[in-house]
Amino acid sequence: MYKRLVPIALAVCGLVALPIWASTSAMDIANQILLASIGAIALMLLTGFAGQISLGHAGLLAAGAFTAGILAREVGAPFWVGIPAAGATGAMLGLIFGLPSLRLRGIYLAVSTLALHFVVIYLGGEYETRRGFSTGILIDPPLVFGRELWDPRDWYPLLLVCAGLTWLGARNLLRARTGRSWAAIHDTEPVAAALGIHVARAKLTAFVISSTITAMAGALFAYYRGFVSIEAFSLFVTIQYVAMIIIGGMGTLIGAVLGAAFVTILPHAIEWGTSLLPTSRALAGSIFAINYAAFGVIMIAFLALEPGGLVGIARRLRGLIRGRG
Amino acid sequence: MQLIVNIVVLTSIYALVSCGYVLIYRVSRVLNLAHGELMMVGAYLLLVTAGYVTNPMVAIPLAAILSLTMGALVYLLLMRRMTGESVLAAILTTIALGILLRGLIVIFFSAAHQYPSVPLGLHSSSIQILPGARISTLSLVLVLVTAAVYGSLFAALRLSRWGLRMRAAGQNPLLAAQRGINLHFIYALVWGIAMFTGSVAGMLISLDAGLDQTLVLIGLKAFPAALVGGLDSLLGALVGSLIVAAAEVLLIQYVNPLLADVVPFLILIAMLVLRPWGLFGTREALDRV
Amino acid sequence: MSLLSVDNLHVTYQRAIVALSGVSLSVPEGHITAILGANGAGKSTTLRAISGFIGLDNARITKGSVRFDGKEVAGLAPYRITALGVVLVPERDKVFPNLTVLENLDVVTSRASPAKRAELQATVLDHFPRLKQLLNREAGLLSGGERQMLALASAIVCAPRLLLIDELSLGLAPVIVEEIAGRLREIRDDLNLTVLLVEQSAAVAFRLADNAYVLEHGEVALSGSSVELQGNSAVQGAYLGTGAEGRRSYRDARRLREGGAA
Repeated sequence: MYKRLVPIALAVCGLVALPIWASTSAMDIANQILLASIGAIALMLLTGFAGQISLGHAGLLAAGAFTAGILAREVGAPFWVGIPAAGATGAMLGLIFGLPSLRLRGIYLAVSTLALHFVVIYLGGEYETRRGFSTGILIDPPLVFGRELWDPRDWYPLLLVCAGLTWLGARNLLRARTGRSWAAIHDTEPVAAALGIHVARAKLTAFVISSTITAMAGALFAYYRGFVSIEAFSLFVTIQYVAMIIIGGMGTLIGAVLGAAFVTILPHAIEWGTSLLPTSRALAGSIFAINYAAFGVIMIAFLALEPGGLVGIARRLRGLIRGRG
Repeated sequence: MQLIVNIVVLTSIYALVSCGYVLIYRVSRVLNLAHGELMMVGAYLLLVTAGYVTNPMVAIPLAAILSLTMGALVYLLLMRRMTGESVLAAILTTIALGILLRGLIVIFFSAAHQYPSVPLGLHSSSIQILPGARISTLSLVLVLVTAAVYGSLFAALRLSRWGLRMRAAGQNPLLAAQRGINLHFIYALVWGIAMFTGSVAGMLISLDAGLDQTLVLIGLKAFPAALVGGLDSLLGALVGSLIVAAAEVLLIQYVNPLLADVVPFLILIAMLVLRPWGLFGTREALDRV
Repeated sequence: MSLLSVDNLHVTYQRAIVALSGVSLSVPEGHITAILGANGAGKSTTLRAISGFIGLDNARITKGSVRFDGKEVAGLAPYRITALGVVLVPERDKVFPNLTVLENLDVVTSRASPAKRAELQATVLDHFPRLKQLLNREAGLLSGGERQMLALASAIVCAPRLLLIDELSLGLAPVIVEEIAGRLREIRDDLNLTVLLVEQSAAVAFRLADNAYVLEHGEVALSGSSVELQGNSAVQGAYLGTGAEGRRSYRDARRLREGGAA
């Protein structure tokens, strides 16, 4: 029992103490990781645990962000209203995104979520043009406990709490009946149905819960950046989140967080790496393209060589160290 | 009248692109979401060959052959490892490949708009083919090429030995292997042909309108056309392309030009709700890899 | 002369379930050999292990050898084994449903030269005249018996040296089975084919095969010529529903019965 607690306690202490010695830009990255973790955990619940393929993640993030942005801009709604409202939007969309899963599986399900993503993005773009926000909606920083959140250091505690709550909520959900019904429908739907599990309800629950969390993450993103624009929610963002759960390790919660950290840090690592190269000046212009290419290579590498993700690698290392096969 | 010409041209574009999706799905049961990017790579290959050979009669076929080879290599080096993996893994591999290719293209060619027609000395002019209807020469070529490609594909699949083997491999890969059919060769061949047809489409489009990353969008929009027709039916791809193209052109003309990019996906959703396997596709278990 | 000899074969599924524990058999050239046994005895597993198509079921050969024509083939890739002339007619999915009967025959790759292959195709159609009438029918629309005939025909066009058949009679009416069995024997005589047949119905197996092996629980319980086995009272009791003393004496048959034959 104690063996487990010590590393966890150290990790928690490390996380809490981070703002003391980290720089502002490091804090920004830490915040991004926390935000990404929330979205990644949501997607992990849906695809990693319940086995429902979804390529519409960016659409849900956008929906949440736009809800918060529209409410802030049109009605002046505060932070405490924006976030739950985003959640409600997410839940509704989750229901819509989830309906195809009752009839479709495999590529057809993936394609239907993809199509819905494009529709959401289109609607967001339409809103921007019609309301004259062609460069995006600006949002004021939120007021939390009477304090305006400006600096990444201010945001950190809030995001840490949010991420922590998401983790705990997800973990409890997985241990409860819902989580077990997801495990049942993951691979063997007919067997699950025969065992009396209400397959449709389990699927829709997965979509709704995942989408609610995702939309709220999107809203948090919007407040963090102070800015909402449809361009920030491309298909590439969806793929990044899918990459997170694959690179991290499908079917594990810690995998979602590891993957989120990996994918968030990757562009920064690449930028740092290319700055070390002698041809760095020439490459500066195509840094975005280099990110793309590197991302593609890494994703392919994990898919082809290590489908178990970072968690899989860790398990194998542990096995090697312990002398097992 | 002009509308009809526009519909025919757009149908040809979608048809030429979507047959790539159909071929790969029908024969190897993989959904290749990198088709748009592979199409773009083919067009950039033309830019490369045009840099060395200014005669279009040499540059274009050369680029096309390079595309065929590259398509086969994509299978042999990458997709072959993913056979037997889950649906999600296979789709994601193609998506990741697309991302990789996009990055590489910008690194090597920059994101600027390119004009392969310039070094080749090709100019597109507008001809009047019917009263009240004009068409650019390159669009006309494209329509004819699409017809030729489809004709050849139908004939090859029905009549040739390898076409027969491809159809067999698509229906029952295990039995095909048991009867001595070399699946790796078949799959490499079909990936090569798919990239070939996509590249030809990409080249023709870029000769007319220039070349940049937005070519991928055409690839993406052609996918609903393939699905509407049925992912394993060439005839379906043709019909699906017609439906999507007609809807797009008519809606732009009479309703709202901004709908152009989202209409194919609305049709896709409608089809998935009503009849997921498309108009002519084989009704399947909906979850095969 | 033994074309195929299997020696002490052990096969395990998913590292946990032992399907075969030491099966040894030999298939003489030019003869039809049958493998009998109840469900789950390991008949199909043996066939799949021989043909190489075993990895699909997450199964592995853990011990023993399979020698075809003197050459060790255990563990080889399936297409290699097919190329050596070991052709399998599977239990399910045995034809290409959207191809016509003629296309089903044309599509296979044969070890024979083109001229010889055309000859084989003609021969096989002569033996299955019903197929000749259905050449342009899509295979998916054929009846069960017609489909089995097509499956056999397309396998024979491959010019196999060893034909493996998984469940010849499954799901077919006895009359059809009679017909197919008769044709198969004729083809065997005509082409000097070697056949290894897995069969649930002992009656069919004995009618068709020269020798047989009875498997139970992953082991060979009995073996011998068809004539010998048919006369064996244990086999009679367990598989043929007849016994020296009717159904009274279960003692000898009990071991055979445990597999769940009844």
